[in-house]
Amino acid sequence: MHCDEFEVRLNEVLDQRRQPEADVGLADHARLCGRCHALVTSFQAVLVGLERSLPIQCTDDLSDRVHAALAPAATLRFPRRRRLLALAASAAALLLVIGPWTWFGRGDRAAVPPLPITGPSATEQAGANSQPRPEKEIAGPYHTLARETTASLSVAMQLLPVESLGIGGAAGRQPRKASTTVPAEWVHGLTDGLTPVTRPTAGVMSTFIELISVKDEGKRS
Amino acid sequence: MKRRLSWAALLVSIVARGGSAGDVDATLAELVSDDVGLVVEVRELAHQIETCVAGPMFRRVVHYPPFEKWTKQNGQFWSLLSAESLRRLGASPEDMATKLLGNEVLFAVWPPDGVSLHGEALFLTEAADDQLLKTVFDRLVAAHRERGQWKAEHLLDLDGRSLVVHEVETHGDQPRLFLAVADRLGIVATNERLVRDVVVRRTTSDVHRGTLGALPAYQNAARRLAPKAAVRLFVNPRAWDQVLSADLGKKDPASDEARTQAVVVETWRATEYLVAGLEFASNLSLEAFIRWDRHALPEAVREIADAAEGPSEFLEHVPAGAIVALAGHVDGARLLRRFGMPRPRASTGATSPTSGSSHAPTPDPGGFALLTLAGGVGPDFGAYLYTHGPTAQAVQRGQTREALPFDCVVGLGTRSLDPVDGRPALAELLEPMLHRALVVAAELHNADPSFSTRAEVRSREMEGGHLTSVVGLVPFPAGLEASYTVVEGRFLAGTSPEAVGRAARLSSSESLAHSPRFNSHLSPRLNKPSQLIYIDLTGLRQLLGASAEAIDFLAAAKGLDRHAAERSGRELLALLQLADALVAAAQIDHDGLAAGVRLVADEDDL
Repeated sequence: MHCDEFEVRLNEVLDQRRQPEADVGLADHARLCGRCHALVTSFQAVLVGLERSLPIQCTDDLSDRVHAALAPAATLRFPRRRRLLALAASAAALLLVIGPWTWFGRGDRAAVPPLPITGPSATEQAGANSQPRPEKEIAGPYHTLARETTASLSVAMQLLPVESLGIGGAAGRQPRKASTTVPAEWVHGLTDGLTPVTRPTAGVMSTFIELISVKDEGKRS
Repeated sequence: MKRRLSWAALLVSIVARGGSAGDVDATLAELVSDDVGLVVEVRELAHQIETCVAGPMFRRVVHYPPFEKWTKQNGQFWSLLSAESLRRLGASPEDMATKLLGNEVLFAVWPPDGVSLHGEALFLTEAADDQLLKTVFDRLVAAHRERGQWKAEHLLDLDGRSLVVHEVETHGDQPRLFLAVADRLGIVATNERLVRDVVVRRTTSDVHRGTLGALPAYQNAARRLAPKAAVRLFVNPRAWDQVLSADLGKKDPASDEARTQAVVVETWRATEYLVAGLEFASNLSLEAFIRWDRHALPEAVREIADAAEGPSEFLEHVPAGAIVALAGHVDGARLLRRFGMPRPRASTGATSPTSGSSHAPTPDPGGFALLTLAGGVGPDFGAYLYTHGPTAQAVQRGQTREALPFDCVVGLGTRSLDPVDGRPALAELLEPMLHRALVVAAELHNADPSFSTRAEVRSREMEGGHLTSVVGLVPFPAGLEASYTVVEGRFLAGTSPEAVGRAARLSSSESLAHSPRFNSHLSPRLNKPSQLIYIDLTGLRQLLGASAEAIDFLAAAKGLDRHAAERSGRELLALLQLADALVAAAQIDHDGLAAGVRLVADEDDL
């Protein structure tokens, strides 16, 4: 087994939720290759750590301790636009303090009566599934509205968040910067790679279109 | 836009003229050799147009205000164009669409042979009116004579019958074209041999040998398309292998361009065929399918395909009445491991622990921990919008449910990091931490005197777990009770506790996956989608038409004033009236990738 095959195989084993050391091919190669041995050992360390991690009971004074830890920051006067950041940072700090491998108690939740939530009724479901839409629901307002609409699609698109598609709206009409993202590079790579297919195809299609768009030099009768 | 509308105007005029070619078997593929690289076929165009024009979607289009406006403004232009076509070619556009191209049309392209940059091409049409076909071809030849572009006349002798082939030049640097009419068959080709082959195959009884129609890939591809598909594209990858390899060979193997193209070429070689079909007779639908040999795909492409393979189970958790639904299936952890980790450089073989290795540095344990954590995420996820009437509970509580005129629910499936030890799913593991984080954030919020609102975190017991909601916390809008819960490993978050509770308790039979209306909109070839976008345009119209808050919400998000918002709202309502549902779906399985976009108009018309 080669090193690159080792990693592919390791991924497959992990995808199947099996233990890497139980795979004979991986084990054999890991004995020969120090780097691959380190790779599988790292994974095993994480897996073993997960298995050994014990549920941690959260103490009741956790909130007080976090408050105390964050007290200087909390008394700062953040501009309004930074409050969200401050809250997010607080939440993130809290998560980091607690650590990712813990279980918490659930005993101190605010006591609120259970919410009697009702699902959609059978008639609602049946209506959503099979009923044709009543004409008046849409036709009435539509016919009125339709008479008032004469403008272009861009007006209709003003309400929709379609800037990213460059379809409409004020932002949508702004020139877009050249993208250098990985997907864009892949699209370029794909189109470039298929040029031997697309170029001759477009070429002959152009020839056939030229056939019927022959310039008219005849006289009108 | 105008070009599209001009096509619609063409369809209108065709209806006025009438004309249907009736049912026609696809026979032109029997006249083309099986080494063809690409084929576009149009079948029963006249019948398709007739059905389309009688259908609900077209009736809506002709009443669409921008279209009405355009036809009023450009009616004279269309009349002039039609008259000009009649004068030059002896046929109006509608006659050409129905009587000339209305039965069966085929356009085929062969790859360049290495000598010429141009490929070979062939155009065939089985006309319904042979006299009109002859007239149009004669006019075309005459026009090229007048321009000095007519080059020669060839006489093909085929079993005692002679066929006149005209050779014309369209442009100096483009290949010449050869035109012929054989009964009802119109032929245009880039060389005389192609014309001869077509006529020979048409007159020979042994038509199947070596033809496109007998090619297994072509036959299998045809079965992947809707029978009603009017326009069909078939790509035969084997015909292009040589030119693709030759092009790749001209590039520096060490360049990024060559490396990317190598993946493209390798994927191409693993592809058995590519087929696409456009259907417009009753609904507007575009579908494509790439059939591949999964084992032959390059590793990177195979990893991506494997990560996204399989149906998204999130559709089982979307209510049948959802007006917008997104559902996906991606094994993110697999992609992260493949593409998010440092990769070993190319190695020629196993190395000993003591020898120098060409590996990249081993990632740090923290990175591994994160990747392992990511292993608990997914693979199913999705989101949906659901309109709601005022519930009894909301009225009782007197809450301002108008913060959003609809409910939005986001769902993310999670799984156990290591199912061997019976540990719960990741979402169940992290849910208490999120609850505690929100409690602390609310306390921090309330401790800050600059906030005028008071934040509150509420938690309710519900069957199978807790439902937590938060109100008054920046950045959530006032009146919004953002909520979440975890059910059977699924993390569900939404804009109200009712919505999240409903999502948690939704039975499979009440889901979109089992909705007859939704399934009637789904292509039978994409009925187990891996990725899906569904928009119930009827529901969306009802929401926008009945709820001023919906317009206000969108206007606020886009920064529009009241007048602009109302105007845009009217236009949007009119646009949404054109169809009743939009479905975009992709389905990845072991055989390949299928994708489609479908715009559906129900029969109940305006």
